[in-house]
Amino acid sequence: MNGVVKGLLFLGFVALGLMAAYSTRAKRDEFRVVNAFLIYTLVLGLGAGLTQREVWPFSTWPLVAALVAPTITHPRIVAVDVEGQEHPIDYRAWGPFEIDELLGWEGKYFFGLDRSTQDRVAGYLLRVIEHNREQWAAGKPVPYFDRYLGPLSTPFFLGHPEHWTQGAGVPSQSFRGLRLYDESWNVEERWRDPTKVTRQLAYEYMAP
Amino acid sequence: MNSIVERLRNLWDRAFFSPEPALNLACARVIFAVHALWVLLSRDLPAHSALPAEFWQNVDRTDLWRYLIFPGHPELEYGLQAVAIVALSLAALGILPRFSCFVSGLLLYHLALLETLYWTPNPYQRGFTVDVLALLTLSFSRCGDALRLGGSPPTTPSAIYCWPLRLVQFHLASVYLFSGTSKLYRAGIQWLDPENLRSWFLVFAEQDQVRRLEAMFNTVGPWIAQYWLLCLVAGLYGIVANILFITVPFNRYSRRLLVPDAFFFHIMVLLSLNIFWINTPQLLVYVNWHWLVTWLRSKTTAKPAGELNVRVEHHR
Repeated sequence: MNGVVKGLLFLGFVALGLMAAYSTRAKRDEFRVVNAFLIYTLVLGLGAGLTQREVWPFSTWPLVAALVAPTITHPRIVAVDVEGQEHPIDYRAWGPFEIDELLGWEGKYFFGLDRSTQDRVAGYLLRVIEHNREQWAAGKPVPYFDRYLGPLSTPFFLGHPEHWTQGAGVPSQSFRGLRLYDESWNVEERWRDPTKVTRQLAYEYMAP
Repeated sequence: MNSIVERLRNLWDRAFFSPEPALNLACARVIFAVHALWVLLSRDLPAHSALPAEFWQNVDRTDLWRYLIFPGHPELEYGLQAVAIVALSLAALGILPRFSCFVSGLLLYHLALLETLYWTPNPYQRGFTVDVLALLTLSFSRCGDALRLGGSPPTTPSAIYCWPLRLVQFHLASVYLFSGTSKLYRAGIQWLDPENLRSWFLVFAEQDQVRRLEAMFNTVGPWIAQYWLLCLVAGLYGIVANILFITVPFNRYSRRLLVPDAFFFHIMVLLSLNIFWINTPQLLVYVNWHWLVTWLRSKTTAKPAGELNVRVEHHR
């Protein structure tokens, strides 16, 4: 379904809601338009969810809705410092962006880009994490996700390990590059032996 | 035929037009406004507008128009976010509540997509989906008759407070319903296979990039995965309990059973899969606040609570 049609369906929800609000101003027991609004909203919500066609904010909620394949593949991005050493990247170092969203974009679009575009994107991401590394190393991390509410901030949907601590707990050397690996493993095999992971370099960027 | 139509009409009226205290609807307003504020203040959505053009080049143009997102204007987005923060605060405090709910609902419809639109137009688990629906629905109703600054709240329950409350409760309940049906739709009945559940628990335990480091995480999932029966129960839970949750807005017995059950479910999911369910606080919308306040008042004024309970149950 085209985005414009979905937008119009949402506009229908808003327009009918406004009409329902207006209709109940004078006669408080007149619910004909309210009924139309309710039916429209229920049909749209149930239609989107039961057919798994999103009309956000009428959504589909496919949570963990898949069969797990015996062998799975996940991306991993690591930073490379000026001495060539690889470092894990703390999820907060991607701030203000969320790593899960960036990985979603990477899985969907990154390898459809030509090499020079890929390098421009990688250069941009490298600048983001290098800037954050510097801030963390100086003991002044930018609080992208807890600026206002501190420890009471909304956690992310998925939890991520905190690799860095302020000051000495941050890689001391500047980051010069990024590597993107595809890691594959058989679920049962890795459970018996955590080292049973195959890592393949999918992309590498080194700043000039 | 006529009797069937009549019965359906009665059911509809009972579901959406029973007398409801104004306080319960006003509490829904406060819950969703505070929830949206909580998520909004914990993210930096406008910054996404500054992502380089390469990120936006594959986005469907119609989706950009649908959400009125024109990348490259972070300052404008920060301005809109500030308006949304003010509007949500006013909605929570009961100052121009309907207008505030309407403005914040529309702004969140736009702002929420900044976080994901560059790769998906469906940001369903980032916290704003139910908030947008609820805030707009509340703005179409008399959600400001109680818990507002100035004026005294009406004391008589009325149908005008019922339909909007029931509808926002339905929006939240449908999240659980679709979480159940989507598993059957996308994976089929094999999703319930205990081996599939075991694999899910193991996959989340094996991914070192998806992990909260506290000791209590990553122990429950592998433990459940060891037992075929527990995996079967988890699978049934993930589908049957979720689908049955759609009865919660319309049935008080479902509410009493399935809402605490949902809290337990979210704790288990957090401990076993490292998934934090951002909508969890919204479950408070199923609490009968009017009954709770009346009960607490009866305690403090030493009135017989039984008499008040009967009155409140009658209203419901």
